Amino acid sequence: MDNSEIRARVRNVIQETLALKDPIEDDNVSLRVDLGADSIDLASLVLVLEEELPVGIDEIGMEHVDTVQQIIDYVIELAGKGNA
Amino acid sequence: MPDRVVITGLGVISSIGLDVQSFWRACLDGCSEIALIPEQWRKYSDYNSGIWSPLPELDYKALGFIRTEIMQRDPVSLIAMAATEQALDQAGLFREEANPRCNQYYIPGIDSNRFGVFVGTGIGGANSFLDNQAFQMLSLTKSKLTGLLGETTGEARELLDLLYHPRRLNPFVVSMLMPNAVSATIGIKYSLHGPNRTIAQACSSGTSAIGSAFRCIRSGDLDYALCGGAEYLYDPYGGIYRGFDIANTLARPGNDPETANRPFCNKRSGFLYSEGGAGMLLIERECIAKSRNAEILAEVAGFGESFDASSMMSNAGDGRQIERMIENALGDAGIQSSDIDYINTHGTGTQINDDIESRVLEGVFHDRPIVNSTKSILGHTIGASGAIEAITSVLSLQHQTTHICKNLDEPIAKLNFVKEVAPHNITHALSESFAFGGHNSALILKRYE
Repeated sequence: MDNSEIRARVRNVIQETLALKDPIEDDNVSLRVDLGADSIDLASLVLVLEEELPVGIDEIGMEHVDTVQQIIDYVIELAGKGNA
Repeated sequence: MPDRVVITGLGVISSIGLDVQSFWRACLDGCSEIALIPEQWRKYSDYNSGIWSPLPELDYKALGFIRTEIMQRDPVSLIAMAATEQALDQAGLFREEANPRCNQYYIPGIDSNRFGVFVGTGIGGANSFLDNQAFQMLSLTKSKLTGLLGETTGEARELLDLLYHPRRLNPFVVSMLMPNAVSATIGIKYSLHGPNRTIAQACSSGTSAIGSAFRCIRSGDLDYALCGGAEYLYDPYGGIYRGFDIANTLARPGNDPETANRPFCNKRSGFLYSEGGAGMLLIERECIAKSRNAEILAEVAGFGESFDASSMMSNAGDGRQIERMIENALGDAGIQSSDIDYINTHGTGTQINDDIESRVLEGVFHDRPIVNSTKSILGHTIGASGAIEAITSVLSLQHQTTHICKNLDEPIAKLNFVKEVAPHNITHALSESFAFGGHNSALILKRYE
């Protein structure tokens, strides 16, 4: 899976999990501030990301990311480490 | 004069039907679902029984759940919600979206503070507990063993495969395993703010949940209640099944699994273990049902309870507390034993239950009312059974007929067991349940005229 596909899938997962009406176009939006995600939403996001992408995600690692871009980078990093 | 309490919606998820219509058809046709237990379970143990009644494969997305809901709820909560959806639809209580992120709704036109939820379950989200506990116990061990053994084949590989665990510990596990998650899930889903109660008393959970809801409406504390029971008895290792099996409570198939489940028969050997199920009812004050022109299916007329205070795993031998439960229910409904036309028994097919239950029924009712056991067709759904049997009783009142007591070749008592589906005059039905622990509960349901 290349990085552009990871980007597309992460965007779709965030849109689905947070029930956003419109697709994500700006990767610099904050999940917590701009999209209103709380800790339950972020835990849900971890589960859905793991189902959609071949990575195992550490909840603690997710605590340090906030924007869509940071999540994309985090998933790309995990995929690069073969953390599946 | 207290308000009458009426039933306006029913919902069923079961091994013999995923909606009320298909469930009732299967009951009348005497169609059971019986299969050998999953092969995976046999890798961990031998079993005395080895049969069960599996649920059909459930497509939760097709049932209207979103992905995060499916990940955050134990199957017991999902099937309870699926049955609830059916009951609300039938009652004509339609929903508007409240929060799409968690697929939450509200019901316009009702006072949500006067709308309660009462759900019975025996083991709640034990499936989620066992699955996640497997991860906790085995993931590190298996990972290290795999590292030590390297690429393995043969017996070593087979042993490693036995250490099954899910891919991760679910961060929602606590909220999935707690028994009250079932009723809470329903209250959250429909934004209902009235009392939200979980009744955990094994096989009489569903009956007592309906009875508790009935009393809250009759007293005037509530307008509406969603009530019933739900159970999900699968786990990846078969440990729950083995617990019942090792206690010698499950039906032994011999040469014919199809006839192994035979309540009230001399040849009975135990109950048919069901993978699970859910039965939910919408009950409400009669005046409200009438004012909104809802179709009234039947009336809840009485409820009675008692407790054996005798044994954790067996009915008290003298049956006195079952008699008292019946007296309480009849008194609550203001009727006599001679008014009961139909009895939906607990009727598990275990030696002790059927012996004591039939003796009590003979003593109180003689051979006048017709008698059957829904478990003779469906098997035993534990915490859901009382609710599903109450629904069977409602359907019997509505249609003025009921299903047979299946596989009953040699009755153990001179009761009026149903041998064929035929018209009957049924005004009052008694639906009774007994439970491990000693909890006895019974509902009186009445034809609505």
